[in-house]
Amino acid sequence: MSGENLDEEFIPEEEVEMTPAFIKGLREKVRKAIEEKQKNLDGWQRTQADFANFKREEALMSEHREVRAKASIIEDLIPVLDSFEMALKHAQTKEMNLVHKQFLDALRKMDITYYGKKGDVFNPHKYEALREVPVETPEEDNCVVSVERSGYSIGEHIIRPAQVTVGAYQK
Amino acid sequence: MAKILGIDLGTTNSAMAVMRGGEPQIIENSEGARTTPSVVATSKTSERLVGLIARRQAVTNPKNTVYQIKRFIGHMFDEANVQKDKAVVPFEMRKAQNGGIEVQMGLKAGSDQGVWYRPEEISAMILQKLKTDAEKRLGETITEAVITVPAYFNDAQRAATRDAGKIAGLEVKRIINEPTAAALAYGFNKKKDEKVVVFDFGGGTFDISVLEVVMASGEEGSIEVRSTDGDAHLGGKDIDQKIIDWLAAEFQKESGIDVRNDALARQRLDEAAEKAKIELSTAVDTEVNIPFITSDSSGPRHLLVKMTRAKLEELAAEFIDRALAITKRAMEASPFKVGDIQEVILVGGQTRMPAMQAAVEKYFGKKPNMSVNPDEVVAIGAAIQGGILGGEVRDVLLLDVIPLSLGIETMGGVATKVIERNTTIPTSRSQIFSTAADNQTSVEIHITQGERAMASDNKSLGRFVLDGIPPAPRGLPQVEVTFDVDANGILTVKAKDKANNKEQSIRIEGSSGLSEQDIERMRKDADANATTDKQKMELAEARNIAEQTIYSANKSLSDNKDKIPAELGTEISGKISAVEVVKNGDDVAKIKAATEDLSKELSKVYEAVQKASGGQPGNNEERPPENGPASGVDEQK
Repeated sequence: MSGENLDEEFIPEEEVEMTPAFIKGLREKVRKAIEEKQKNLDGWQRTQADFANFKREEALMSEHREVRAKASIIEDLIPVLDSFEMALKHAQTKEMNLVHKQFLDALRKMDITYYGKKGDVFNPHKYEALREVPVETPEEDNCVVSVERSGYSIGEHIIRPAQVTVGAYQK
Repeated sequence: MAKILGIDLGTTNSAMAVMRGGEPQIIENSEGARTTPSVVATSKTSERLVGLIARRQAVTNPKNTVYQIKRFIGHMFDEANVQKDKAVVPFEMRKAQNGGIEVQMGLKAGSDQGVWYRPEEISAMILQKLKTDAEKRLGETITEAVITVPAYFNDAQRAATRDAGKIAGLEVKRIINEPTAAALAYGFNKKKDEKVVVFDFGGGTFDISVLEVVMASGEEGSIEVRSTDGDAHLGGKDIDQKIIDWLAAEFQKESGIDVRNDALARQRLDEAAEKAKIELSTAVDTEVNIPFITSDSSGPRHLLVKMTRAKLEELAAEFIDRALAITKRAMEASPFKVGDIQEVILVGGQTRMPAMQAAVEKYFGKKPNMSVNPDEVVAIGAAIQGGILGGEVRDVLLLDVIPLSLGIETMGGVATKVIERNTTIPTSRSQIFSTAADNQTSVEIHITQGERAMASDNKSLGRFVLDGIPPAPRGLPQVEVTFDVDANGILTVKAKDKANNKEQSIRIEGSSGLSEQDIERMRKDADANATTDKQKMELAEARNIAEQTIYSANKSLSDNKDKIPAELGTEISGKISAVEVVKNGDDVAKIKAATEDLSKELSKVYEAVQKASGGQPGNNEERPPENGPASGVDEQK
C-alpha cells in the first residue's frame, strides 16, 4: 500500500533488456495485479454494499425506534393493567371505571391499541390460547369464548397478544 | 458472493446470525425477536405456522403442533429414547417404511387423513422461516447456511439436519458442533493448543463438551471435540417448574387453593417465576406479586411471596448438581485434567444464574467466560464459520482507529476537535472556521492531538499559515479546514479560503507515533484534569463571547452613531468598559454577568434605530450577531 513498495516494483525501461523471460515475468505480474485488483474491488464493493444496507436498516430502525421504546415501556405496565382489569371484574365502582378509562385514554394517545373481543375468530397472530372449552354451536368453534387478559399492539407490532379461552365444538 | 447464514437450530429455540462488515450479527425474525421458538403447526384453518405464532395456538391444536423435533431427527422409531420421548409429546408419531420416524401434522385437504412428515421436513419448516425472515431483513437472497448440531449427534442425525437444510432451499456449507461454534464465537480457534470446556445449559437440554484447538498450518486451528456428555432432559424448564411448584405450594399453604390447574393462574405463575429468576440473578431478594390470582367464596385471593436468592439456589441445587456430575464424567472421559483447561465458556440463558456460574467456577478453579450473549453465542459462531467458508473472515481488513482526538487551536486557546478519538481510519473530516479580528488576512492553523480542553495541554503536531485572505470583518471569511488520515495513520491537514480557493496544507507522519504508554498517559491526564479543563474551557468561552459582544457593541455604536441617543451611547460605552475590565480576569460569573448586561443594553440600539427610522427597520440597523463565528481561529500576532 505504501509508496516504497510501488517504487520497488517500478523499474525504468532503459535499465532492462526486454527478453522473453522478462516479458513473461511482467505478464505474470500483470496477471497477479489484475487478480489483486479484482479482489480489492470486490472487497471494496462489498464494504460499500454493507454500508449501504446498514444505512438502510438504520433508517428503518430509527422509524421503529419510537415504536420499540413505547412498547418496552408498556410491557412493564401491562401486568399492572392486567391486575387492574381483574380488580374491575371483582368490584366495579364508578371511580375504578373512571381510572381504567383514564389508563386506556393515555394508551390511545400513545397510539397503543388495546384489544380482545369475545366472539372473535381465534387468530394466533393476535391471540394466544390459554385453554380450550367445549361450546354448544359450531359457530362458536375456534372462536374467543372469553378474554382472560387484553392484548396490546402498536401499529402492526403486537406488544402482547390477547390471552383467551377458545371454544371447541365437538360434533 | 452472497451471505452465508449461521443457524443455531435448537431443541426449544433457534437463532440466526450473519457476518456484516466483518462482524457477526444476530438477525431478528419477522416478529422482531432474536430467537424463534422451534415450533411448527398446521392451524385449524390449514395455515402453516412457525415459531411464536405456532406456540400461541398450541393449546387449542396440540395434535397438530410439533415441537422439540430435534429430539427425533435422524433416529429410528424403535429406539428406546424415541419411545420414551414419544410418550410425552401430544402429536402422533409412527414408524416410517424405512424404520425411521414420521409425525402427523394437519389433515389432507378435504379428508380425514392425516399428513405425515419426516422430522427433517419439520426442521426444514423452521429453517425456511429463518431463511425468509433473514432475506427480508438483509434485502438479499440467502442460499447457503452453516447449521449447528450437538457434538453427540451421529452421522444419521447430521445427514438428516443437512437434508432439512436442503428441503428449506439452503445449501448447507457445513454442519458444525454447537460447542465448536461457541469456541469460534470467542475466537479460540486462533489460540494454539487451547483446551476449552463448553458448558451449555439450555432450556430443555444440558450438554458439556471438552474441546482442544489443534493448530494445523497457518493461523487457523481446527477445533476437536475430545469428549462430550449431557442430559437430554435437563434444562432451565426444570428450574422454572420447581419455582412454580414452590410458589403454588406457598399460596396453597395460606389459602388452601391449588392454582396449578387454572390455565390463567398457571400462565401468570409461569411469567412471575421467569421474572423472579431473572431478578434474582442480580438482586438478593424479590417479591412475587400476583394480585387476583384466583377467587373463592370469600372473594378474590392474591399471591404475595418474598423470594430470596438463597431459596432459588436451594430449588435449583439438584439440577446444578446433576449438571456438575455430568461435567465431571465428561472431564474423566477426556484426555485432560481439570487443571489443564484454559477456558470455560457458558452457553444457554440459564447460565446467567449466579449459583450456576459459582458451581462451574468452583469446579474448574477459574472464572467462566460469558462475555458473548449465552443465548446467541452458538448462532454467532455459526455465522463466523460461514464467514470463514465464504472468505469474508479471512479477507477482513484490520481497520485501525485513531487513539487520540485530532483538532486545531481556536480562539482563546481552546482545542477544537475535528476528528474524535476511536474514529475508524481512513477518514476525512472538514469544518469551517473564521477569523478572530477585522481585516485579518492570515490564519495560523495549529494542529493538536489529545483529549484536553485547551490546546496548550495537548500534544502539538505542527502548524502552518494560510495567508492571502481578503480583508473582511471578523467572522465573515470562511476557512475550510480538512483533516485526512489515511490507512497508515498519516495525517494531512488542509486549510482553504472559500472566497478565493487559496489553500495551504501540511502532512504529518508521526501522528500515530505515540507509544501505548503515551496514549494511555494522555487519556488518563484528560480524565484527571477533566474538572480544571472544564473550568478553563468555560473561561475561554466566556472571554470569547465577551470579545464578540464588545466587537458588536463598538460596531453598532459606530454604524448608528446618528440614530443612537447620546445617553444610550454613553451607557453602552460604560458597559463595554465594564466588560473590558473583567474580561481578562478569571471570574467566569463576572465576565458572563458583564457581557449579559452589555447584551441587554445593545438590544436597546435596535429599538432606537427603529424609532429613528420611523418605526421601519433601517437597512443599516445593527443587532448583536445571533451566530458569531463558531470558533475563530487564532488571531495572527
